[in-house]
Amino acid sequence: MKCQDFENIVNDLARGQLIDAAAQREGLDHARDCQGCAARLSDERTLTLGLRAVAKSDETMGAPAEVETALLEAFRRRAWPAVSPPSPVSSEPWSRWTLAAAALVLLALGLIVYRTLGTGLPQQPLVGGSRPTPHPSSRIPEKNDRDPQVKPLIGQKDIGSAPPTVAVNAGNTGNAGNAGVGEKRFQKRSHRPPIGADVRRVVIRDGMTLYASDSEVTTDFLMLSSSGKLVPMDRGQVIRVQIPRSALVSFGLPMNAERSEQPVKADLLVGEDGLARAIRFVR
Amino acid sequence: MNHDHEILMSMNITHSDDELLRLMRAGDERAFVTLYQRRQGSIYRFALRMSGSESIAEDVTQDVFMALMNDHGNYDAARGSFTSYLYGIARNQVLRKIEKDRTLTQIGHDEDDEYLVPQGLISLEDPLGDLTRRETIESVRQAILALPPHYREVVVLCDLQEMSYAETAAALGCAIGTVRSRLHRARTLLIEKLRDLRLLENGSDPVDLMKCSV
Repeated sequence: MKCQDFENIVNDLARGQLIDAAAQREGLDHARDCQGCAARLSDERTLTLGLRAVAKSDETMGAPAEVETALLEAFRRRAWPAVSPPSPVSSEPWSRWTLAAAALVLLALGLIVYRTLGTGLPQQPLVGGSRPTPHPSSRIPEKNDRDPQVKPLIGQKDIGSAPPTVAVNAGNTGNAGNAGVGEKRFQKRSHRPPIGADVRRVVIRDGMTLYASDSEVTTDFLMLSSSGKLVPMDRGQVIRVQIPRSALVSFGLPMNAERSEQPVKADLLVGEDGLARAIRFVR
Repeated sequence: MNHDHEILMSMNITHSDDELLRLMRAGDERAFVTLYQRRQGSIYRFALRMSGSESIAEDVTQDVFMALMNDHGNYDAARGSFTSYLYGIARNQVLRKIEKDRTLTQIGHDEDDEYLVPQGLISLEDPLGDLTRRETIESVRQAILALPPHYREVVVLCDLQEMSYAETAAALGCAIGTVRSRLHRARTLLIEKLRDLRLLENGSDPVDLMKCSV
């Protein structure tokens, strides 16, 4: 090894850096034979000791508590973005058109379903009118919902009176798929989409889970077909919409008359052909 | 209070810097506190070693974490570690303040702000030895502060903060080879200064060594 080569590694030797074992051995051998390089290495090692003593002397030092206090106040004053699940409605222009079309289709099909199944629904006497009686478990639990008119009949189980639950491929849709035929249940969804996952586009496959926010309560998907037959679909899209609250009645669900002016949130399952296949109501 | 402390301790153990940063940007105060407590010491010491001023070190520490609140996602893990990112912010802040302070120092020198070896390092059992040691440390520290900033920062990061060449290069935004060559030159300058102070007895001469052909 030449002195110039030694100079290239003397820092690493003195600082105890990991270097090639052969280069280290050659460097130390060179320092044994070269008085100048030995002195150089000695100086570098002394400097390293001095620097380590400096580092050791203040290793416990840190900013005073006032700095943390000031930063914490600044942090609290700052308006941080609200942590919320990604919007189910895509901001892409085409999805807005789909939304509009789907809403129209929904209303038309809802009317058909209502007229088709409405006659089979048990009638519950109401003050000033009548309305279909839902399955007790299918009520949307509304805040301040004290209207006795919409209280379900305890123990009443008229499965045949309710529209069938949608079944998109056997055994699919996670929790939604567990509901029995004709049984509409509101369930607390426990599934979360993985971080960064696009929850807006849903591929309908076996074992698929349709995600809703943990804070939301939903019905099962209700089929939008006048024939009551399932139309096979491989892919679809779930679109969040707001529709008139009166649509709840169309599906045999109770409606709080006092809040009839307020829209209700719903998820539309739309096929690739743009037709809405199923709907679930969300609270 | 104890519950909060336990949560902070837990986050400190279980969360990486990147995870804490993500939570912090979502408004998680505990993540911010954990991140601050984990990194403030090294940032403060870096600024202190670069500037020799405790007030600058405090300001830089505060500015670094304020910048972190306001950076809107400038940190890119692909370009270096989070620590390197913090040092990069601190470096820019401290160089700016040193330059500003240099102008002010010409007007009036505040001795109270000088960074001295903590008294706690002096032992009562060997006061003379400790005094010598303290003077030596102070001499080395002054020699570092006398280096030009681009040499000083590599000595502080590599030798005092014990960062790798790669981490230092990421913090400074330069190549690893640049870090190595600057460190080599900086240490040579330090040796010359310490020899002038008779803290080094040996007479090796790096310049002459270049001519050696053993």
